[in-house]
Amino acid sequence: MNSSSTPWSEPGPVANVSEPVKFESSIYVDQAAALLGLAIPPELRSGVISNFEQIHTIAQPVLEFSMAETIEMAATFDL
Amino acid sequence: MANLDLKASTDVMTSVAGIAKAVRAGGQGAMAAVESTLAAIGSRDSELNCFTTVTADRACHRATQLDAAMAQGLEPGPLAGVPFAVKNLFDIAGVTTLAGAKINQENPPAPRDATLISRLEQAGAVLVGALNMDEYAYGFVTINEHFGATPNPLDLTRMSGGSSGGSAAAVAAGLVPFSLGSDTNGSIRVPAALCGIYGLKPTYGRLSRSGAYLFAASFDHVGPLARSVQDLALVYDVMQGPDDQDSVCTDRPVEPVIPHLDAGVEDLRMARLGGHFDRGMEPMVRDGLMQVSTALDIHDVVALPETHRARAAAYIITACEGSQLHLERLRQRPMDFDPATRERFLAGALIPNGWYVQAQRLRRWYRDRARELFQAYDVLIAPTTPCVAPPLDQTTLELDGENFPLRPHLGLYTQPISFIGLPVISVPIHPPEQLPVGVQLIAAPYQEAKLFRVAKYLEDQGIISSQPV
Repeated sequence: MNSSSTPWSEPGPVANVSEPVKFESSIYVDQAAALLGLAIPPELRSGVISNFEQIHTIAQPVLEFSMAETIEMAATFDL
Repeated sequence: MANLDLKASTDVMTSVAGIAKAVRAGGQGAMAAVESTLAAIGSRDSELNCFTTVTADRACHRATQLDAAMAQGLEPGPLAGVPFAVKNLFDIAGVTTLAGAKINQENPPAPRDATLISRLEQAGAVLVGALNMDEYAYGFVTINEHFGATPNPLDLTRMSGGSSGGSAAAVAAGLVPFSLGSDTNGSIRVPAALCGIYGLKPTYGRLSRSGAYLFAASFDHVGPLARSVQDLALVYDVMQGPDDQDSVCTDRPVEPVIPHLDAGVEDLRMARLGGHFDRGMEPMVRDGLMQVSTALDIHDVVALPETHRARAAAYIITACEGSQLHLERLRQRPMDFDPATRERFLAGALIPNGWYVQAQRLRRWYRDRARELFQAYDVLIAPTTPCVAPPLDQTTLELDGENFPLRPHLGLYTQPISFIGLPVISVPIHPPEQLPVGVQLIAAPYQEAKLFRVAKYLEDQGIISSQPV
């Protein structure tokens, strides 16, 4: 491997993390799918983006809900 | 065809208890029951599209064995000669497990039966086939691109519900007296309600899922569907018991419900769920719910807090786990998935892991709120679906002046309950000349016996029943 081609060896522009980045679902879907090795067929892309946007909306009440740090995942279902 | 006196009534023809009693009376009973069932499937299933596989040879072989055993005076079991069928995600030895998917047709045949099939056959029941479902159980409608739609036997222009639609329709139509389904977010209860039959989703971990093709393992349950409380109980009791092949199956001893069926309800503390469970239903659904409430003399209305968040969390977990299960297939052949599932599966694969963890933690929080409620009450009631069986081509549902996408909305009231693994029986209310509705009877974990007592009481009072098609 040519070490000069590795992304971490090439200093590039540094994002200003203090500024909020507007979420773009289409960019996220393309990038996350690439990361996972999912080749989304072109004819499905808009449907996948639409579905992810729905999931994003549905997730908000879950993500906004404040719980104590001590609340672990449920492992058992008993009295 | 062998001679068997099963013609006395439709009730006997379609009841577990009736068939077992007739078969045990002697002669060539098991074979007669199987041949009668196979004939009914042969004449009616082209219209109903319940079955994806009919295991006729296996059933006849099994019936011959049973009849021979009885001729020698051997005990055939409590379900002697009773035909049954299973959702096609259960392994059947020698048959490829479809799970509603074209992709799975390429898999080799299952090497052995699912645990529950083995237990049922040890009790004398006879498997006659596998039943249609939504692809990979991801749906509430049983409209399958690859294997067709299973319509509602009560009105063939309407949905049977899903994802265990074949399981519900086959029982409602009287093709088999009972069936097995699976329930991740409502997939036994929704079709049971829309088809006017009984469906049991036991406590998470109560019945072995070994040999059942999973969907979202955190929520996957398996259970029976039948046309009477007694039949549901007979079948449930023989399926209980530990199974080290299923990592979530309980080690608790078998707790039969049959001995408790006629215990009445006087000592049970009951309430109706309010809030989320008291909004957004058709008038017929509310009428059915209130009939049950009145019959049980329920006065208390109680809330499970944050149920809308619980339902959302169930959605996130389901999407994550289902998509991870199918990730390699989504990479290799997304176009071979059903159009109804593939974009949802692909989108679900992209959910950040922090969302999943938060949803699982909320599950714990919500479970604890339910535990608090069950300190004060034994049984809670809620509607099963917000509507009666919709037409097959319906895509939206208008409730209280607001439009919702129909398919996910069918799980409005079931999803929050399976989220925390509570046992539920969906019981049918079927007014004359109308479509049926379902009411969920809900108990604390491992308290199925209380549900059966309430269901039997309601049935004896004539409040709930499954009407012959």
